[in-house]
Amino acid sequence: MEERRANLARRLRALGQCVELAEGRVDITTLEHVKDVIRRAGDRAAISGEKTVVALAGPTGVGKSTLFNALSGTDFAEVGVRRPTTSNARAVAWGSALPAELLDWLEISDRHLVTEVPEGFAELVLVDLPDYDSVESEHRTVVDHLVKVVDALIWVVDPEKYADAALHDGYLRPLRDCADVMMVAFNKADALDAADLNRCVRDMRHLLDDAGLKATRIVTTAAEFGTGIDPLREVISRTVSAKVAMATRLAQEVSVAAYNLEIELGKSVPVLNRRAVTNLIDGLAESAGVPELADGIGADYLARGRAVTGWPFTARRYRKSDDPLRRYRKANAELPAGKVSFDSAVRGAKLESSLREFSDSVAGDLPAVWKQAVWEAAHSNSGAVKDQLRDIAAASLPPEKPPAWWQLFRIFQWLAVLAVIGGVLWLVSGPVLQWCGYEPLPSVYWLGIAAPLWLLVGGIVLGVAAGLIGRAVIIPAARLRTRGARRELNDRVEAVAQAQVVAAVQQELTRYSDAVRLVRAAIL
Amino acid sequence: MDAALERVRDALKGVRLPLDLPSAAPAAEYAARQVVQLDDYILPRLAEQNAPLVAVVGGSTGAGKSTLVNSLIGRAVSPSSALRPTTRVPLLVHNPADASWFDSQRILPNLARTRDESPAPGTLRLVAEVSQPEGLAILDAPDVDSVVEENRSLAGELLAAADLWIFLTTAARYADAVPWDHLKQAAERNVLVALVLDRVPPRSMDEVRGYLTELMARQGLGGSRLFCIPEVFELADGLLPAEAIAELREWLAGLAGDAAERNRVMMQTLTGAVDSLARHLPEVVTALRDQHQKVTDLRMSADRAYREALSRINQQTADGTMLRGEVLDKWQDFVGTGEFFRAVEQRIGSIRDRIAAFFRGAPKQADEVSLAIESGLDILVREEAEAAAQRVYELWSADPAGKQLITAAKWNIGRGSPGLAASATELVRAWREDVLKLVSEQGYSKRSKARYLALGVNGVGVALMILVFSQTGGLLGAEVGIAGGTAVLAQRVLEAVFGEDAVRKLAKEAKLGLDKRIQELLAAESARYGQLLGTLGVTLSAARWLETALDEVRLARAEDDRLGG
Repeated sequence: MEERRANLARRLRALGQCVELAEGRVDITTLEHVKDVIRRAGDRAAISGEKTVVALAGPTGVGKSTLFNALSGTDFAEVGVRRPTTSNARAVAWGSALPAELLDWLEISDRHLVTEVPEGFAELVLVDLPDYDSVESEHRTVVDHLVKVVDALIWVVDPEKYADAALHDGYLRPLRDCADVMMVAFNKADALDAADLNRCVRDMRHLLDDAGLKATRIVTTAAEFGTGIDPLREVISRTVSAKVAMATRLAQEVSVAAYNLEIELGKSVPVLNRRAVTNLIDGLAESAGVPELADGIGADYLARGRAVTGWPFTARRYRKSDDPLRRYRKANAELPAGKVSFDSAVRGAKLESSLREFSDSVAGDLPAVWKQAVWEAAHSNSGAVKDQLRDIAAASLPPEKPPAWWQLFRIFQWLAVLAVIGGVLWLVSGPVLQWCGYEPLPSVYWLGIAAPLWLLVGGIVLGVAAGLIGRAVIIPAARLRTRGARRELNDRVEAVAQAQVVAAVQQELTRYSDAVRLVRAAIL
Repeated sequence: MDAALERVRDALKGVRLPLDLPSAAPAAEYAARQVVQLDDYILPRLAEQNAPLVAVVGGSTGAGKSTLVNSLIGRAVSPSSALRPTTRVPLLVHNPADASWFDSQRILPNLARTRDESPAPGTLRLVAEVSQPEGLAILDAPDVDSVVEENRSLAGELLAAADLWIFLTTAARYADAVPWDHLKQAAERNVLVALVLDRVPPRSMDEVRGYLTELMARQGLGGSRLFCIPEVFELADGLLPAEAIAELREWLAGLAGDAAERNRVMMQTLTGAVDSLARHLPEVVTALRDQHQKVTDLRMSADRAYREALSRINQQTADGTMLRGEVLDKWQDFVGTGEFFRAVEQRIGSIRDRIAAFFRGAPKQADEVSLAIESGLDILVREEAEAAAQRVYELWSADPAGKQLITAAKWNIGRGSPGLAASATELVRAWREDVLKLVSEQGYSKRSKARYLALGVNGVGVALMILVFSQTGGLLGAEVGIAGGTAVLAQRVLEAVFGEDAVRKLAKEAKLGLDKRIQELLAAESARYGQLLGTLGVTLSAARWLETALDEVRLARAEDDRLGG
């Protein structure tokens, strides 16, 4: 009993949380129905867990009021030949005081107290409902409201009306999930002979079974003659003393509501796969111009490296050539901010399409409304994404110190230059000194060749060779530099993607998975 | 009259209300019911006014219809039982002399005739009885409030086909809502109704009778007859005692015997049915118009989304924003190479250049610019088309009917077509060919031939594309420096080759070609929505057709002297 209630409270909580998550993303009618059930169940449990409300419902003229009087041992319900008769709901409670709060909540104003308590009726509130099939449509409104809030229902029918569509299609079938807190009283049993009555009850049994109400019992009564009243009272008092009708009814309502919600939610298991994120980062990087920027950085490295390590006599031209990095920055960063959407139409389109592809691949087979929500989440910070990507495109990587090996090459190159100059000077010095009347420098021969010639030729050969070696090293190094720059810039793009896109999408996916998890918890 | 009603029938038969609008469900149901009523009753009755009257016995489950029919005939023809619902196959009792009227499919053409004692479902059982007066047949219908759906709809159909109603209810039931819904319809259609109140406890006979008379008057059935049958506990052979139904039997016999009265009853009901039809048909017309309006609205919102996409692409391909980023980068590479400037300079044209161009082919950089332009254009077009689809989804999902279409559609409303990527690529490729064709067909002077060759056809083509993308010239601030400067360079080289006027013409033609291709692609994308709406089969002509037929009926009704004023 207590366990049942705790369980119900837990499921109601789960369903309530699920509703909050599903708000705006699930069909409004379903959601309103679920909210209604939650509200009703919460109210009912809060008002009185002790009382059991049993209602008599049925069409006009089946002797509902007569049965009500017979069951309650009162004559509060008027009995008449005028149709329709009962026009509002009427309640009887037993004991010393009326459960006023409960009756207020049920919206029943016609209430009676009986001080003499029959066996097992102490916690019973017996309600007589108006008919639902008469020309008076307000009656129907009252019935429709009360069948939702009472704990147990006794449907009163007679041989004439037991197969009406208004009963079966209007109430029994829709209420099939509450089959075990419902009962059918087959009244006016005296109007038929035993064989016919038997056949009618069997027919009714078939109709109930077909509608999914196998758990609903049928008892035959003849209220006018008091037949079958005692067994019915017995069943009622057992229901009341078990005190489970309310919890059962509410639990079933919650199950049905949760089940309907689950159908709306679907059973997708969205995953934020690494591949989709990688594609997103690549797309965003492309839209930010990262590949061009990285190429520019690599080209810049190549130009500077060749200027430094190349043979000084020829390498100067690299320094003069247009700086690709500066050109790139000029093309991208000097744009008036906010003048155009993103920096170019193409980049804007690339950005949009990578966001779209990302949300599509992540949303997978989610219900359409959730897909749309994921798309919106991916776009939620697109302004910030654009700004930050533009910053990445415009900002320079920290200026790079020329690598140490460049300096080695440079020193070597200058030594080679010095050797060449020395060689030339030495060669020239002989005739010059001679012409000026000085003694020429002593001739030095290395391996049979004049030393100045060694210096001159060696300087040229070594310088050109070093330039070639430097070039052979610098080209792959520049390629590495391009790759490194791309990686570094991609990391920055990834940070933007994670913070501004993936996080928001992840939140939406979590919201969905949580809703699915909670609704399942509410069903069980 | 008959022809006009035939046309109404055909128009109603063709009523399609696929969108779930508030007016749709009631109108569709009404149209379906009226087709049946026209076939079952109105058209045959108009054609043959000498046919016997058909009195349909209808009412609630367990009201004792079969017992009443049996008692009227005087023998147990219709099986009655305590089980509900009992009557499933309708039973028509007629005088043997009237047999030919009912054996044919003249009335109720959807029900096969049988004279078998245990008939199959979906048939009409015919019984010839000498005790039944000539000129009046009695039709025992299923329950109007049966738990079995087919019984209910068949009951409705039979009541709609009756010349007069014998409507049965009981003391326990006379205030039930369902039978009264039927009775209100009878009042609306001016059908002659004989209300029979069965199983009245003798002690409360007067009270119930008085109350029911009051109820009938309130519901517009004041002119109808009321017969009360007291509660009988012991039936003799399943029949009510003769005196209990004497009054009803006498009234029916009187009706059958008086040809003039019979004709009056028949005409009253027929006129009522036609008038009711004329009164309610405008609701169907409205429902048809609502459907058409909604389809038009949805189509227009889809069109608008694509029109906006088109104008955005048109703008972006003209204002120079296309030239930023990669395109600019490659263009500058291209311009940075000597070939370009040599072409710009006035002096060149040597044989050496021609030979060089011949061996080198088109400068490689020109291809790279071209590639950058193409991939940029490709993605721009594709993305705008996707965004338009997304926009259509948003617009449609804000509308219940649109939502219904989104759910029912076999494809994703919010995304471009599966072939979109391919057609965007194809568009770009085709446009590039257009441009190359334009420049290669454009005449140039001998003097500029060398320049042309120096750039290669691709180089000239690229310059033209660049010019196209910056045509509006409305560039601002730094943009002029970059995109504008770029374009000026392109323009100068083209002018050097073709001359000023020709360049203007070329740029215009190339831009027009591009716009046309983009427009075609978007039109193909947006046509998907038109097709989806087209499959609904909603047309304005359905409403017009029905309206015309209705006007004809009204006109014929005024002129037809068979029908009472």
